Amino acid sequence: MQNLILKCENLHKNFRKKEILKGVSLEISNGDILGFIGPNGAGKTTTIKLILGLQKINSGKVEINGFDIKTNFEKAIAKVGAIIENPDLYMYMSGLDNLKLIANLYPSVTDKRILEVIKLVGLENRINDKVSKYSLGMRQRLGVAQAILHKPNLLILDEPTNGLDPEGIKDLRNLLIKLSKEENMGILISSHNLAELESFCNKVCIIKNGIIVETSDIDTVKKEASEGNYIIELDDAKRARLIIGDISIAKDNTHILVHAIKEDIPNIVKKLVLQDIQIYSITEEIISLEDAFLKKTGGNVID
Amino acid sequence: MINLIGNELKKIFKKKTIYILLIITIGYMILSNVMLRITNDSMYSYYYFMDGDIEYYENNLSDLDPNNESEFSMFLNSKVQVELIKLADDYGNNTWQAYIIFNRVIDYMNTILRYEYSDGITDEAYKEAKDNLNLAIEKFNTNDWRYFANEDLKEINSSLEEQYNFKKQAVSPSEEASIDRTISSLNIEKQVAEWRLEKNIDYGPSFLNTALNDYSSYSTALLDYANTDIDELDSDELSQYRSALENMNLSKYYIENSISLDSLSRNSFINLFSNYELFILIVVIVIAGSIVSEEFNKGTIKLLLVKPYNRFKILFSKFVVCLIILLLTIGIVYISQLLIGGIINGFDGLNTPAIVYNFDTNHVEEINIFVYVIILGICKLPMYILLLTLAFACSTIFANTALAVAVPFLGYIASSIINQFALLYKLDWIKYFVTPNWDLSYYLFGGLPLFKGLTAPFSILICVLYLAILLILSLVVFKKRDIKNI
Repeated sequence: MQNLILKCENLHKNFRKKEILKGVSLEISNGDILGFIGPNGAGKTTTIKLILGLQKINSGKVEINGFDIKTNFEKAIAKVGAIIENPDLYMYMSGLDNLKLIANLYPSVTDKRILEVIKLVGLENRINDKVSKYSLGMRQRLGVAQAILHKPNLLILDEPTNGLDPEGIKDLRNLLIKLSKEENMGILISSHNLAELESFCNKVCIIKNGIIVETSDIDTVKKEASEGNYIIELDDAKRARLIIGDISIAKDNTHILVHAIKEDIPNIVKKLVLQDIQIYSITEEIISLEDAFLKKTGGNVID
Repeated sequence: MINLIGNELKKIFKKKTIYILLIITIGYMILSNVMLRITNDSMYSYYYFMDGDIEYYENNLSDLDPNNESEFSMFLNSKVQVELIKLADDYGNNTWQAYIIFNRVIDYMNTILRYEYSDGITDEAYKEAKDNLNLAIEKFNTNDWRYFANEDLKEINSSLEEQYNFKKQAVSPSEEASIDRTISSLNIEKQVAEWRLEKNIDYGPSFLNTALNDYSSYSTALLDYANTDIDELDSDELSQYRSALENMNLSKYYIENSISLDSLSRNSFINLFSNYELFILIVVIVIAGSIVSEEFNKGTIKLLLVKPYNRFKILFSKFVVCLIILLLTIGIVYISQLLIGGIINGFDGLNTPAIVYNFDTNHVEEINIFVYVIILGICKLPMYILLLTLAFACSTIFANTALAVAVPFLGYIASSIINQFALLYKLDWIKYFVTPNWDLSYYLFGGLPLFKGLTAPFSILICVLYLAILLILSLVVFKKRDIKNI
């Protein structure tokens, strides 16, 4: 059953006279992994800070598990785990001491749970070392560990893939998928790098200049992206365009770009061949999710 | 809330800072106790003569001609000194004999030498002086100082009789008053001499001998106030009067009860807060000045603020932890001084209670020394807590550790200057400032406040007011603060 965990409505945030967020709305249900994508400076971290009550909301509303973050902070935040910006931990303590410190603040967390989480993030061997000796990737893991210690149902990770190597990203992906499936958590991950998130998320939300420009299921987006472009190399681009019509664009004298679904390609080739056009090659132009989104966002201008 | 406080304490004790500061403090305590032991010998010593004195005077003598009238008194004086030093050298500088030699034998020696080098002294006087000198040396050798005390007493009694006779013949009231004054001071001397015999206090340097001297000088000083209306004294005169009254009564108490307060470990324990105040403040201000700002600077504040505790609870628990650290530091310094002082300078003096003069009851009171030091600590608490809160508030408001540590220290250093300045220019509004109010030890045992018109409840009220302002300001800023990118 789908339960709404996080609901942001029309969030506005100003710093002095500058409007950082101009009406951001978001929803996360349990089991969702929402990729929160946007270029640097678009307002991702600010949105997350508003959700977590770290900054005051100028107007709009954040509800977590039905509790308003402004008026009922303690209850709203009780089942939230978060890493904001960097996994800032107490560097002069060991990983275990850090976790124990966090555990003290949640009466429900037992020593057994701490060990369980350490195993889950794969830090068993280094947990007694001081955090100052950890690599960024290990701190990232410890950050995740402290965030999920109290079994939250909403996990908020701000740029968690920063500084992780591909192996680390893969581990994190597996962990998050496991958490969303097994513990039925709702997860919000922000990143400026869509390619990394492609494989995690089942939903994406794109923010640009403080406005959400797109919210949709990852499958829809993928489908959109799969309507491909094909580049055909031939002898006379002008004549070819006259034959195929509007779906094509002449790139230069010898190349045209055709926008079509795969099944139409043989027909197009047939038409061209019948008109005596010499075809040398056909290549599919591969569009990643990121390219698809870049087209939509059109690049962020920080104002 | 308890969990938050526990966590904050853990964070502090996992860091090296507090240990380093405490080790420095304890190192300083050891050093100062050892220094006290080393310099102790000179505490009650009195130097009647120095090593090179004989050579100096003999050198003088070779340049002087006793037959030259203008040089004769200098010659005689040098000659007397040489003879006295030679005599005293046999007994040592810090002995009762040395005192008698330089205060009583000096007269005999004067007579004898004057007789030898000039005329004007009769044969009988010379013989008497010679006999007295020999008798004195005999008494020195048999360690009979009581003989001299009895001699003192006899002389005082005969002077007294003489004065009573003068009084009978006095013609004017002013002459009578002046004689009365002399009688009073002679009576003080008589009391001192009687005490010396009764309590067996020789003339050598000792705590009780000093007490006898103090009693005599402070009682004599008090005679000046006999006809003065105390309420009309200005503040300087009043504090001089009260100091004389206090010291006179305390000396009297020491003598009457034969109490010697010369234990080094006791003295450094009683002065705990004046000796180690700066160290206590360093520990506490460094902790309070970093407890909030460090979390901002390192970004860990975000970790803390997304936990299910509202900001008031988080800030308040940090403040409570600062208070705990203050009490803990005071406790550590208290116990360390007891142990370090005891080990280095002996535990014996700690049975002697603290002795204070209470201006309200006009009585000397004995207070258990451990309780007394705690009372002093409680009186200092407002100052410590306010400086701590200032550090805490700066830490919260500016999120800058260096500033939060520096400001309270500057305040601490400036406070005495501010008070002096206000006293000098008689600034009345300073009463509402915090520095004249935050040290309650002025009010102990009927003591005078720093400024006229201040009372203990008023001072406490002012302290509470400043505390509340600092705390409310910190809280408002902390609650309103947006956590920016770090």
